[in-house]
Amino acid sequence: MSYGEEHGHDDENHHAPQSFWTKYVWSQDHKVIAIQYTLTALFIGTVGLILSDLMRLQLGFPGKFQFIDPNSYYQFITMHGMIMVVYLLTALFLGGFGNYLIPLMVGARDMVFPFLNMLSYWFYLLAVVILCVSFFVPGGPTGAGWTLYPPQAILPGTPGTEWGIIVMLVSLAVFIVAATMGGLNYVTTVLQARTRGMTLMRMPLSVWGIFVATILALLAFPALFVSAVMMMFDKTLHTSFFMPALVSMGQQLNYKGGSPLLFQHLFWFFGHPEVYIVALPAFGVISDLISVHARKCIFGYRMMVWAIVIIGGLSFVVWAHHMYVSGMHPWFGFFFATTTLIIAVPTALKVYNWTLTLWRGDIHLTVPMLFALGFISTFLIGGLTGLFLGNVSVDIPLSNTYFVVAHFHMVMGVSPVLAVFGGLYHWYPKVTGRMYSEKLGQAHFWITFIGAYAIFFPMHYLGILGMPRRYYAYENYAFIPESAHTLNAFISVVALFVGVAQLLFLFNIMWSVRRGTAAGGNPWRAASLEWYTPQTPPEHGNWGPELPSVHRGAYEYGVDGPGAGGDYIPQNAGPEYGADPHAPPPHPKAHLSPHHDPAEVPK
Amino acid sequence: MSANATLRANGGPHDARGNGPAWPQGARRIGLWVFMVVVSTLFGLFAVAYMMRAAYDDWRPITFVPWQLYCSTGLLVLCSLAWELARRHVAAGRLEAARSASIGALVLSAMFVLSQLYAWQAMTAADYSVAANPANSFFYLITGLHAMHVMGGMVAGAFAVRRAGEAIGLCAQYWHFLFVLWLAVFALLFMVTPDLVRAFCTTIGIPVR
Repeated sequence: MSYGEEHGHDDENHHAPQSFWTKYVWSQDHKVIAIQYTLTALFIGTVGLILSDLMRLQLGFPGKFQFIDPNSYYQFITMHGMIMVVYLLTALFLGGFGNYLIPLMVGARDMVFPFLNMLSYWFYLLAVVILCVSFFVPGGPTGAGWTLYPPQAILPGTPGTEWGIIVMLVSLAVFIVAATMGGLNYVTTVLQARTRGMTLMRMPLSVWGIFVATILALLAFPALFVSAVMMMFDKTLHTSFFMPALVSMGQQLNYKGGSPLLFQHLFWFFGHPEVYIVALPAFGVISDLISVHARKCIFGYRMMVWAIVIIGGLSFVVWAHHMYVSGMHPWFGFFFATTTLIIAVPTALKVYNWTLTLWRGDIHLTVPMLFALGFISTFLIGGLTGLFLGNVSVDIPLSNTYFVVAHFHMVMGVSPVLAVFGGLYHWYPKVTGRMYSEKLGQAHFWITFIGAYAIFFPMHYLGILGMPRRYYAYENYAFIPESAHTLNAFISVVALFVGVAQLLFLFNIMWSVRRGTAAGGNPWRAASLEWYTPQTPPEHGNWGPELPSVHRGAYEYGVDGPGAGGDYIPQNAGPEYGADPHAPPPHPKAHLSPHHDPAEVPK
Repeated sequence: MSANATLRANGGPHDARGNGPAWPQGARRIGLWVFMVVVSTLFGLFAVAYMMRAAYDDWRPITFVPWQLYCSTGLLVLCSLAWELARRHVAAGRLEAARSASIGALVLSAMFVLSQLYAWQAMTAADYSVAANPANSFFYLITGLHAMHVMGGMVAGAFAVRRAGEAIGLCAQYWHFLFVLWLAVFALLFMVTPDLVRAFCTTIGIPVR
């Protein structure tokens, strides 16, 4: 059965990839691919961050920076949005966290299709490279806004209609192929490669979040693919899928009869599930972080799982709340407002359960925990403003203002990014075997957390004041008072400071790879399976000669467990733990010798 | 590669019930099912877009069905049958026969793609060009995408022929799916009339203009 029985350990190492190229570059090991995904996403995310700071320069100090003209401003907006939503968050949560955590958390040796997994990363990298190429093509990247609405996306007058839009559509198509290949892997691995005893309802919530988000991605990305392909036809072959008959720059164009609204439906049929493709893994990661660092079983595990599933299902029937101002039938507005408000129920349920998990917990304010708490706070604020915008009558006056910018940055920008940071800080010791500087991590948290509030909270006010979004310059509008300009300058200063402060994070993780103190196999005293690999960082094949057996869920904290001062029971500790408080003292290496109790295996 | 082969050969992960290695066949079959769901979603979304567009009053349906499309349909039936034959040969342990049958299926698939190209040519020759009107654009787009899925299958099929193992069963399953998908595409493009769409929309309460 085991892969070490016939070969000794030395011999088995013999089979593991040896050369630098096979080990780190053309790797089929899910852990290496996860790191490749993460580093690529962090790189392109840094580009997105720089673009946002350039926009803030213009907004805070209009006209002071000659190189930011209206065209480049719109290009920055577009690329910032697209990079952050698709190329950073989606790739990092599914490709990064998904790849690393799924096999380790369900007790598999690797993804079920390692070669496909490798292809997925290389297609993703190709998509990122193509995206970067658009900065260098004639005319620059597209400036159509991240939603790429036709007809303006492909008409002259919008920056980047020569090449930028084509490059963007190609890059998206390649990304979707990558995400589909990865997604097939994640879903199949969760369904097929779980170890003995790892039932679906024993999986950590991180896996549940990533699993459901992957299903959403598999079903939603085709909609983006359809709209990208059809727009590509309109641009290059002059078909009229989305392009109505129109006059542009004084000339009657050769388009007729297309429907821009059709694009909006297709785009948001992808775009809304996309919000949850990013949010569900964040929910999962936060649940795990809170449970581990508050030393308490997650409150209402079953409820949490069903909430994830229900949110995933509902996310497909709310898309048109992004289109209230497009002129829809009132009954449609009614329908979509209702579904949008219903989705707040399972979401609020999750927030309650996190809070109830914290209630009377043994809270350790470690760096991951700080980020988890920060997530709850920002997600709550962003979610509550979502209730405003979900109502048609409130949305229509606010739709084109900074209120929307504030809302979606709180709920979909800051919150998932805090979850990403929390997750990276939490699993860093497992990935590298070393601990980062706690002090730098805390500084990074407080600057990012307070900074995020300082940046986005005033935007709610600006929005209610009526400051329109998407404008390049705000001078000479009678309805925008002087104080709004002062506030804009303040936001820009904070944004620049927070942007630069992310260097703390980059420095911390790079420095600690070599210089950090050794972390040991399980520094957080966590109960879930990924902390019980024989080696840290885990080697190729993850589990040594024998796969672990699982006997319980991932959240047995605050109970008498094996080990000195243990207040938790590992998932793979034998079935004798948990039932009998006077259980015999465990062997120090109990996790290395998984139990082979045939009675445990249901026939 | 060899490391992964080792992992597989000596006991991959167990399925949830602990009944021995679940790789590779169970996982591949699940993977294929998930993939077919994704492809169905993709074509389903095209169908929705098509019908939304067809509901507009300036829609001009395609009235001309090039005979090559019937030829394609026939070829795809033969593909399906050839793969099915290959699958049964594998099940009976006749690997050589399976190999020939699946090579036949691949050749038939290539002929299907050529026949589709021929149909495109006939359409263009009859002045139904890609940008002439939305119905034509949809025709080229959807049939082209279907042909690409056939060609992608041929790449996977070539690997399956080389191994001549159980993967051939998966190919058979995929080609049956491609055939059903083709029938759906055919029906969508030539049988879904604007009247039908309008009737459908009014039934479920969507206003048509």
